[in-house]
Amino acid sequence: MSSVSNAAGAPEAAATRRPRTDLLAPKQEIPRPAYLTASAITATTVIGLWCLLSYGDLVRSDFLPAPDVVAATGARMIADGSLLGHMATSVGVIFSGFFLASILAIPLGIMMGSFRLVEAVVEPITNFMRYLPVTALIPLLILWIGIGIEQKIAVIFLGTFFQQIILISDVSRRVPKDLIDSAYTLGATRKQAVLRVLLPATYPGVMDTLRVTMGWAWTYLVVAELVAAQSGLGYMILQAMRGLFTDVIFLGILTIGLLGLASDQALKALRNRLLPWARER
Amino acid sequence: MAKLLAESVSMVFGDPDAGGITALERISMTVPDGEFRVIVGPSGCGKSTFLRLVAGLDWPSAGRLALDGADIDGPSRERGMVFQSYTLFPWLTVRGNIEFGPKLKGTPAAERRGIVERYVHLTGLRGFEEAYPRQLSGGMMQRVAIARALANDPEILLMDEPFGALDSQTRALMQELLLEVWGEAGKTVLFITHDIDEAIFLGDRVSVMSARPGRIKEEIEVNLPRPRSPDVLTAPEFIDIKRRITALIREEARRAIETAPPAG
Ligand SMILES: Nc1ncnc2c1ncn2[C@@H]1O[C@H](COP(=O)(O)OP(=O)(O)OP(=O)(O)O)[C@@H](O)[C@H]1O
Ligand SMILES: [Mg+2]
Repeated sequence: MSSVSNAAGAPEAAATRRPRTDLLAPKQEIPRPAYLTASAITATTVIGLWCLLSYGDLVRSDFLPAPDVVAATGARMIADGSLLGHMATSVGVIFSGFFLASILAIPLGIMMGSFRLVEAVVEPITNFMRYLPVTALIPLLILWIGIGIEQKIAVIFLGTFFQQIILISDVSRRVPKDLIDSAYTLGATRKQAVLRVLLPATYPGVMDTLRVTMGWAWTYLVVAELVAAQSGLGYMILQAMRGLFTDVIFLGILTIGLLGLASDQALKALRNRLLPWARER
Repeated sequence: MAKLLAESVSMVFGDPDAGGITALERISMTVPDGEFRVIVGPSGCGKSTFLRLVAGLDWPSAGRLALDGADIDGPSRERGMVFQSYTLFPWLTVRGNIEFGPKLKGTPAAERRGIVERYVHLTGLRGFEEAYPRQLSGGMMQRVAIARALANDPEILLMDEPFGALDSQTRALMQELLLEVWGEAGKTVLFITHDIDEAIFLGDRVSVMSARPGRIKEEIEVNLPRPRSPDVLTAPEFIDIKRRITALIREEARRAIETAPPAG
């Protein structure tokens, strides 16, 4: 083989040979096809295992419904509109709770991380609240604000708000002081330094925090719809449990997972769109 | 006339009675209008501390600092600063960074365009106006930082080891560029470094600081003709000055080691 290229004659400049892509080197990019293949293998393995266990009759069907049963249930519930109704309720609850938490936690967290006085005022509460399981507060929530939709929104709110404050204050704290000082030496007033430098410097971290806590908000959904719900994906799962409708439970779990994934991707796209200067590779 | 005046400026961090660190002790200095003044000194001797006091970012524990006869009380656009670390605003393009100061001042857009044009040209950044800092090399970022400070038209330019993080070739190019820009803009400059060659190549006068607590040990006049080219690095006068400064600094370094508390 090598003799062929020698015989070609012309002393071509030996292109420096790129080392073969090493798939196992830490922090090393790998080719996109390799990445997608690996992901596809995982996905097919999980689904394959599911098929094997259910179609192979290795697990009882009321424990593990077969994929086609879940798909059929899904089709039926989409057709009669009930799945969409549950989705709409849950998305409404999640977004309301998450939105309320975010618009309060973002300014408060930014101030807490950069103004020692605000930190002193807020910290005792946040440090206490962050360790409380939201479930422990549900009885009080029912007592105080009833069993309506507000109670469900409150669960999501409490589950995300305190975590957001802690994370965002950290983002704000890590903004280099030299950045603020640069603004001062360029003639910025204190207000301008805060609004035009501190604030934009926190944007990427704030967006990342929103992404992470949005994921957490979804994990509170079933807890939020535990009490006196009439609709919602969490409620749907809890109802199905009573009748041992595992196919509906599976459908609920899949839907929550997919919606969570979609909201995560949406926030990621939003971040890249709004903050091109801090784009993730 | 004295542009910058420092009279017995002292700076103590922490409680002076309970193990506070005396970073600066009775620093006095007069920098004439238009001079390129360099401060050299061993690491930790208080160079950055002094520059922050001049910038108005910190308050001296004692003493007086004045620019054009007016006491310094807080940061101001009159005293532009280029920091030791990279401090470009990452969410602004090169253009956005350079016009940050003029924009705060309310300079009209058309005029700002001209200012950006001028300093982009001066610092050799043509074609990078719309690039974000993360797309630039270290040397380019520091050039933008210099352009940003100059575009605000300060009375004095404070520079804290701006080329400290650059490799020696880039550094040499940046020094020449800075002298060009300085010659053109005619600003008073207070420049900090611990590189003796850099100090002599750039400065009209070099203030040598002692190890902690920082004092001004000696002021050395650099009477090398301008414009200076890298050839000057081998001129006998240059070598002579370098020998004197090196001796002063070595003395300080030894003193610092000898007075250091025993380990453990
Ligand atoms: N905010 C601070 N609090 C306490 N001590 C400080 C503070 N800033 C500086 N110091 C101390 O003051 C001394 C001088 O520090 P400074 O940063 O001015 O040194 P420097 O000459 O700029 O050093 P380098 O060349 O390494 O940048 C050091 O001993 C440092 O530990
Ligand atoms: Mg320093």
